This record gives sequence, structure tokens and C-alpha cells, in this order.
Amino acid sequence: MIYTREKLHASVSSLSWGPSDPSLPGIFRLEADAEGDLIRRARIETGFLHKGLEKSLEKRSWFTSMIAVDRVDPEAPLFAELAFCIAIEEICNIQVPRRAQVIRLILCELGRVGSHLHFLARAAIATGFDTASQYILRDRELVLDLFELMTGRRFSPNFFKFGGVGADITEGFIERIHETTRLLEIRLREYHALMIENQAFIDRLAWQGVLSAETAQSKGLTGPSARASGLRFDVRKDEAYSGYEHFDFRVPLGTGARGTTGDGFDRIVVRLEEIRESLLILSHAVDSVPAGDFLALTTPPDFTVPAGEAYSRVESPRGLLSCHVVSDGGAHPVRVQWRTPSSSNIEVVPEVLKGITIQDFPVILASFDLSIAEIDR
Amino acid sequence: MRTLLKKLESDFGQAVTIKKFGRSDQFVVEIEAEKLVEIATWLRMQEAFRMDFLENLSLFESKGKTVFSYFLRSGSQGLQLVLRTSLATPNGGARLEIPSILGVWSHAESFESEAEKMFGVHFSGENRASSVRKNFGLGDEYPLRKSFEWGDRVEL
Repeated sequence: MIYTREKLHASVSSLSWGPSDPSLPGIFRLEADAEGDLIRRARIETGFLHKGLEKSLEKRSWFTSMIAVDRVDPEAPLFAELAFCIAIEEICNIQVPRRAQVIRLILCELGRVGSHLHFLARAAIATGFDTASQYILRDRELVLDLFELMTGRRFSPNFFKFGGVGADITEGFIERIHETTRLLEIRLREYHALMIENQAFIDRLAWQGVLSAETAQSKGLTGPSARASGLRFDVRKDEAYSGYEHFDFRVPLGTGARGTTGDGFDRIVVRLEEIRESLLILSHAVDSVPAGDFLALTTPPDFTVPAGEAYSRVESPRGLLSCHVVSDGGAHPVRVQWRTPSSSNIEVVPEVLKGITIQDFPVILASFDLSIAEIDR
Repeated sequence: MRTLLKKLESDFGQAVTIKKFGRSDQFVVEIEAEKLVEIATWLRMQEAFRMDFLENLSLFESKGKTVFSYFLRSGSQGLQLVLRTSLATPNGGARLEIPSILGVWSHAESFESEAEKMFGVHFSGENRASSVRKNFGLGDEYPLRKSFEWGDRVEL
């Protein structure tokens, strides 16, 4: 934190954190005008680690493009892979085998569980619950183990292919999913006791960083943070893809159980509930994997996409992730554009930080689960 | 959706061209840039359809033109529509100019600010007040234009 001269001579202090600061959820700069301990105005600047992925994709062949796509959100890479594949498959009119669709769905729900667990660990650290964060990170390893078992990689799996997935279900994967979901259901009850029913945790988040449904809507917020404010939109329900329509699951909403709807506490509870729903989807999905192929076609290195365009949407752990792909029939994409949830979700943060104390801002920031990598894609 | 499109055609006549969007069930409404705010406002305010959510703004450059695609969604009806306009891409570092739709969809700011930096677009007619600044440190270079020179920059 940098104290400027105003801090010494006036009641309004200008404070600045970042771009690299442990209290921030990524590489960006947060500037605040504070009166005493209260933040009166906040500004955010991003772009310090922009990856230029969309430009990079214009140079890549279609075959190698997935390597770059994986990096849109390194913490939940499969969602960008899926959105990209769906768009390409639409342009090429490729029918994805049902088996491949269910495998994609299983991996995406595992990805959601892994991402939400990481979020909970960060929220626990921000609120001073380091013990809880250690337990949560231990359990997240189980999810990464499953990724390794299925895709061969714990991060950047590069596993989804145009027309399906890179490999069939590996031996023991289904049994391990059952084992892990059963264990995580027990662990969720433990997290509940450690955090959600803990008065010290409630005091840090209830009534803090309140975001009304109206503000969330006017700022284009999506995902669990929007649902915590009462907006029901979830792409898996509203515009089902990859066979989500065959699974029954609930879309948890904020209820203001310990404070008011849309507060920091609701944003934690909604994600905890979403993990529970994902575990249910997972246990049903692994029992209903249909027989058949896992890949509709093998793409050669000189694979090209015919002239045309498509737009796909998926529900990533942070909200609506969409992908616009344009091809002129050539060897490289004309354009691959992403609408990432964090790019829109970050717009509410300066608004929400107004009126909170300096000591609370890391907690409120953590409760939005922003991915700066998505913004600086 | 067809009811909305018919009404759009009857109200705006030849100012709109309606096409299918790729292979999908969606439609794309092509318009002239000067009609953008008027038609966007019409779509936003139609009581029965109310395209109240600007889901995305995607730009691409093709055949010397920069194409602006506004992906719209009606929260209440679940309808989707693509509103599209295009402008000739200027040479060198000159900026494109198009009316801002910030007055129609207040959350357009994050999309417009990215397009401004990446494609060199000036969105006119509205004052930006966002407290989020996306700064990619490229000055007057617009990386998503086809004319962008990679120079010494290294691909990932």
C-alpha cells in the first residue's frame, strides 16, 4: 500500500494497491479515496498482464488453436475449450456423439467444483480462516487428481476436441468420481460448520458489499455473484447445452439468510450450494454415460473451418462465457472473440466498495471471484 | 421472434436487413451505423420483447470493413438477436467513429472500452463514467486490426 501526501495533510487519503499485491485477487491496480477508514471512491485499472490471446488466435492454425484457448481462464480452462468447440462444431455442422457430450459435462462440473473450492479457499484466507483454507485446498487436490486421471493433466488439459473429447473414460475414473463426490458431500458439511455457521465468519461478510438485483442487472453481472443478488439466469438452465437438459439440478439464489440478499455472505453460500448441485449432477452423469464414440472425427493438422460464423454460450464458474468465431474458410480464424464474465463483473466492484472500511475490501473483492486472467485475455 | 422482426421491418422498412445468423436459429439485423441508437432504443423499449441485456459486443475486420455485432437477449422472454452494423476500416492509426449505445444499455461500457483500445473505435455521444480502466499500454496501436504490426512482439 502506498500512502500519498494527502494522507499527511488532509482528511481524504488517496491509497493505491497493486498491480501486484497479496490483498488483490490478481494483477490489477486498485485506487481508493478514503475518509479515515471508509472508502469513498474506488477505481480499478487492469491490463498489466494482457495476453493478447484473441490476436494470437488469428495467427494460429485451427488445429493448434486449443492451446491458446486453454489460457483464457487458467483456473477453469475447460469452459473456454467447450465454448470454442461448440462454435466450431456449429459452423462445421459436426454432430457430437452423446457419449462425448456427457464426458464434457462431467469434466465441466468437476471444473466448477475445483474452481469454487479454490474460491472458497481464497475467501477463507481473506477472512482470516486459514485453517479452513488448508482443508479446502486439500480437497481440491482430489479434483485435480481426477483431471489427471482422465486427461493426463492437472492444469491446461487441452482435452476437448472438435467433435468430442481427446480420449475415452479411463479405467477407474467412474469409481473415483463416486468416491470423491461422497467424500466432498461430507466435507461440505464440515465447511458449513467451519465457515457458514461461524459467527466470526458471518460478521465479516453479512451486510457487507451488498449488491442489489437492480445494480447487478444494470451492470450486466452474470454467474453466482448475480444469482446471490437474486438474478436467476444460468445458461445451463436457460439455454441448455451438452445435454444439461437431461439432468435435474437446482439453481441456488441468495436469500439474505444472515444479512441481506446480495451481500458478501450470500455470494459465499451460493457457491457452496452450487458445489453441492454439481456433485449431484456428477453422480447422476457418471451413471448415465451412454455407449458409443467419444469423438465424431479426427481433425488433421491442416483442418480448416468453412466460411461462416457461430456464437456459443456456456456457464463457467464465474458466469456467462461466450465465444464468437468467424471464419473465411482459410487456414486461420478471422476472429475468435470471448465475452468473459469477469470483464463485466468487475464493473460493479468500485460501486460495491463505496462505504466499506479499508480492512474489509480484500474480503469483498474475494467474494466476487474475479479472474483477472479472463479480463487480460 | 418472428413477430418482433415483422414489427421491426414495418417500423424501419429498408433501414433494416434481416438474415439468419450462421447455422443457428438466431437472426441478425443489419443496419446503418447512424440508425444504431434509434433501433437499439426501439429494441430495448418494446414492451412485449424488451431486449434488456446486451450480452456481448464483438468486432471483427473483414474485407476492409470493421463489423460490429451486438448480441442482445431479452431477460423476460429468453429471445436472442444480433444487431449488426459495419464501417470502413480507416488506414493507419485513424480512429473509427460510431455512436455509443451506453444510453441504451448502461453495461455496454466494458465492451466499448475494450473495443476502443483494441480496434481504435471512438464511441461518440455519451460520457464514460466507469471507474474501471482497461489499459493495455499500446498507445495508438490497435492490435485487433488486421493492419497491426507484430514487430518485436513474441506470440505466446
